[in-house]
Amino acid sequence: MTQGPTADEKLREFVKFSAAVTGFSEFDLWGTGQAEAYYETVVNQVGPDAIQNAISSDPSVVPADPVVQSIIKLWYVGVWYGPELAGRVDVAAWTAPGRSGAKPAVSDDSQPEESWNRQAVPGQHQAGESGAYAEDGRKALFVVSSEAYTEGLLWRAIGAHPSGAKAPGYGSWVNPPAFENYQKEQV
Amino acid sequence: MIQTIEELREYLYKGLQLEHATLPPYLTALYSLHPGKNSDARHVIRVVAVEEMLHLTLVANVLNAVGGTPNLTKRGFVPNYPTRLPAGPDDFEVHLRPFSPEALATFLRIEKPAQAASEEDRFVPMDWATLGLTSNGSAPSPDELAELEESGTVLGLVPGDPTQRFSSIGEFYEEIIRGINHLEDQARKVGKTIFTGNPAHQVTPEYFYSGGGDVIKVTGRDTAVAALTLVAEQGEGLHGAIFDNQDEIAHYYRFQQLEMGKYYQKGDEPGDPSGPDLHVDWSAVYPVKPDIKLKHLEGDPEILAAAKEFNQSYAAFLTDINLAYNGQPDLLLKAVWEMFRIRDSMNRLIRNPLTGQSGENAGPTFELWPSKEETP
Repeated sequence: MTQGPTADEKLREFVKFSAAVTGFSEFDLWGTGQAEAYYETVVNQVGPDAIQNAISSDPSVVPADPVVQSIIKLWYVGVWYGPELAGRVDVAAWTAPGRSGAKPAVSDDSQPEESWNRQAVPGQHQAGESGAYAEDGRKALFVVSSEAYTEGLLWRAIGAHPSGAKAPGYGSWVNPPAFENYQKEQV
Repeated sequence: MIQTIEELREYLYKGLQLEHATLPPYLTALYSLHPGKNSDARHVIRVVAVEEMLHLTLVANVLNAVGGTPNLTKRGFVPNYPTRLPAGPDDFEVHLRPFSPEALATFLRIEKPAQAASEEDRFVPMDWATLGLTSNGSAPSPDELAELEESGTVLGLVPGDPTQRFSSIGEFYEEIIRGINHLEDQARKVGKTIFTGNPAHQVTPEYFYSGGGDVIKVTGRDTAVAALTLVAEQGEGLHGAIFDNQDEIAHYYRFQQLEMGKYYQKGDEPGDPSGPDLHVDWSAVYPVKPDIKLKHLEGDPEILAAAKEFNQSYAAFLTDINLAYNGQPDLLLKAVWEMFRIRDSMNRLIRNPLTGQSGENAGPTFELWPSKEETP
């Protein structure tokens, strides 16, 4: 009888794939301390088969598998955007520059607002969650954890720090944003 | 007994080395804590680490005041871990390792109050055989001794006579205070003073904020003794007391709170804290490979590159701190920014699992001067 990959191997595979689609190194992804939480989030939200499909999809195909898009966003902003939200105008507006997560910038008349939460759910006490959960326990949109926000790749991508966290030191704003370059040859 | 100003300066250099040497072990344990967990342990270790940075600065002020030149960039200033520290008749190893009961036990020994019972007990002959440094217990050759003294492999050696060591760090500082008193008495007899350093090299409170107590500007005997006494008190406690005159808890008792699961409050007796409960989750810790070296990272090129970069940035950081201690104190403010970057780099290393070594994570190696054969 052949043994399937161990939990550790699956996690490593997830991080390796995530590195390919985020453009950050595996080192950087592990360095966020969020690998386990994100893997668990994806498994809970779309199931292990969907991850496997996503991982085996061609990353150069555009548009990518919606699950792949969800995984990329997850690493960059620490927020799970369920694949069912792919292409939603209201979500795009919500995440546009100048919006940082309070409320959608424009209302979406195509669906009643509570439908977001109706698709949602599970599980674990996510910060700030509200509303009803779907019967299958899934949830379309939530911040994975308080650390996920501060560990979002987007801060490093723009050479900045998350407001209110990971402060770079009093007065350091006199410096231009610092871009790290040791992984620049990769991807 | 310290007889010359040069000897005093050498002692103070060793004091800088000693104060700094506690930081890599404390920081490794601190950043091994999972984010969002163990807030009690995080707070306790952080406070102690920040106060060690104050101690480093205080010792630099004393060294500058007596006309010395702090040098944090000298080869061997950062020990190749594990290093050894004195504990009465014994000494013990200090490792770079994750937060754990063993790490906490080591921290308690680092900070343990240990006043020698008698004058003779203040010095302990080195036991080279036990250390595995010589087979028959005789002292290593003079060259080896010099190398050993410089490398920080064994801390608390008697400067100028490394065949002996102090029985404790407290006694090491006691010797410095006696030396200052002796030399200053001698100088005053002929109308002079040993405090001839450039006052502009003193780091004063405006350059040292939120740093675990006030930095003391050292301009003479009283301030020198006050600075060194603060260093000893914050660690071991004043005559074994839990709280100092500013109601700060000594490091030893801070760590003991983690061991006993309770906070101290005013009026408590040592060993019997009666404050609020405190919770430690020993499992919410990244399993950093103990005393990790660059050579352990050959199978992980990305981690190796980051570990090397960390060592370079740490060396650059010490260079900046050193400039701050040598006439440019305003650089300390910028060094704070570097500290935040160092924190982030350490966190990234510590959160990376090593491949092929299941269950162990990477960490900073603090090899600032790796010998050739240790560099992959």
